Amino acid sequence: MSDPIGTALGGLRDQAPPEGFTPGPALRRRAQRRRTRRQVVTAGLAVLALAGGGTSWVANQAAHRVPDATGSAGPATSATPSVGPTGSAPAPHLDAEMFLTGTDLGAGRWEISQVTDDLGTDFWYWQDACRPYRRESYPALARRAEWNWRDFVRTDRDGVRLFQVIERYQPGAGPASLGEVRRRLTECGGVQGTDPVVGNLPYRWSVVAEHFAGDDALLAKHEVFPDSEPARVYYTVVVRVGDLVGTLALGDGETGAAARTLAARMAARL
Amino acid sequence: MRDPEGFDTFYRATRQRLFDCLVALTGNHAEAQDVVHEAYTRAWQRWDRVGEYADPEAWVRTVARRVAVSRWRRGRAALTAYRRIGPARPVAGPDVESLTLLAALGKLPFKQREALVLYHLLELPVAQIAEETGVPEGTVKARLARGRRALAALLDADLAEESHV
Repeated sequence: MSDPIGTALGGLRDQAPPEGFTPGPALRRRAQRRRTRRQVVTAGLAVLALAGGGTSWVANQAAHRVPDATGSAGPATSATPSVGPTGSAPAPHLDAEMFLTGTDLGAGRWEISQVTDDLGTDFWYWQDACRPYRRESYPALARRAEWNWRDFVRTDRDGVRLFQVIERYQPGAGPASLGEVRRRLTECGGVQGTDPVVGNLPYRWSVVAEHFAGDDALLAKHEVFPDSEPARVYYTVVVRVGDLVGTLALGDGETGAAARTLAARMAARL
Repeated sequence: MRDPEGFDTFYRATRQRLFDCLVALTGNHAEAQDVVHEAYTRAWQRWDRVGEYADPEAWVRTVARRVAVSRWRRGRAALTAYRRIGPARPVAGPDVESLTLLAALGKLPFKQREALVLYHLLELPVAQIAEETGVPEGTVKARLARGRRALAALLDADLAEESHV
């Protein structure tokens, strides 16, 4: 007797990956790069611990430990609010109301998700902007007290997705953080690409506007150049209010003007 | 001592099955591809140990499923994939029926979807599914039965029997 469910599911075999499988040697190189980066971070932690000045950061990093590479995705431990370098009182945790809502995003039905697992110590929105990323080159990250995110998927228009991250830095470190984003975008300027980890398409980041919302802001343009197709353009906007830094990645078809509008709404919520 | 050639051979021999599994679990080809690459990257990082396992494919599959189930990872991977190749569009492979099936699978609770995919797509025995997912065999059977009923309703398929589990 035929089994319609089994037959239907069997029809999903041997589908083609959209970009082809990355060759084995490239995967092994990727693993090696990751191992090297981890070694560098470990060495940095050891130096800080020895110097005695990085105790709170070391503790904070331990709380954000990257999940075991065996794949266990255990529940995340959120960062304990860090005491600032001068011993000032801890700042409050990130508040859910700091994030954009479906109403802020305008027309459409939005599904918003936020699960705090598998955050990873090293996560930084800009880490994949271009290679190589070396965490020790961005010292403000060591003063990041906590961060959280939301993923917005528009359910009435297939595939439209936005992504928002809010980071809280220790007192006084917010401006330095945005400075490091600027530096990162500068070093990632010009056409990059073909690294299989990032994608096999050439792409380019550039800053197209600054200082238009909050205490500081920048609008980054991400262009991707597929073969024989027009370039695709995506915008990411970053807004700083005090030591809070909000980053919003907009989806396909969203304009720079829309990004600025949302930046103002982000600033109002921070 | 890690064996690059052994790893590459293993990777070539098993990646398509894992990709098919991940497509069915995530409903997104680009995301599935990213998760597959992530799982094999982790496998190579400890290949001196994983390569000695009786069934290294089961290890990679477990890692991949855990990566896939992480909504954080899913959100970020989807964003990256979305930017890289744009919104979902017809590509060689998924036909209308497959897309309909993937959409229906996506409406099932993840545990039921996982059981259906491992059983029907990868053709793993119930005992192995129980071992890989860490639940009793009875639970796997219950998930399969519920998942089949739900999927049949979504696909408007005629489930003539319940004897396939």
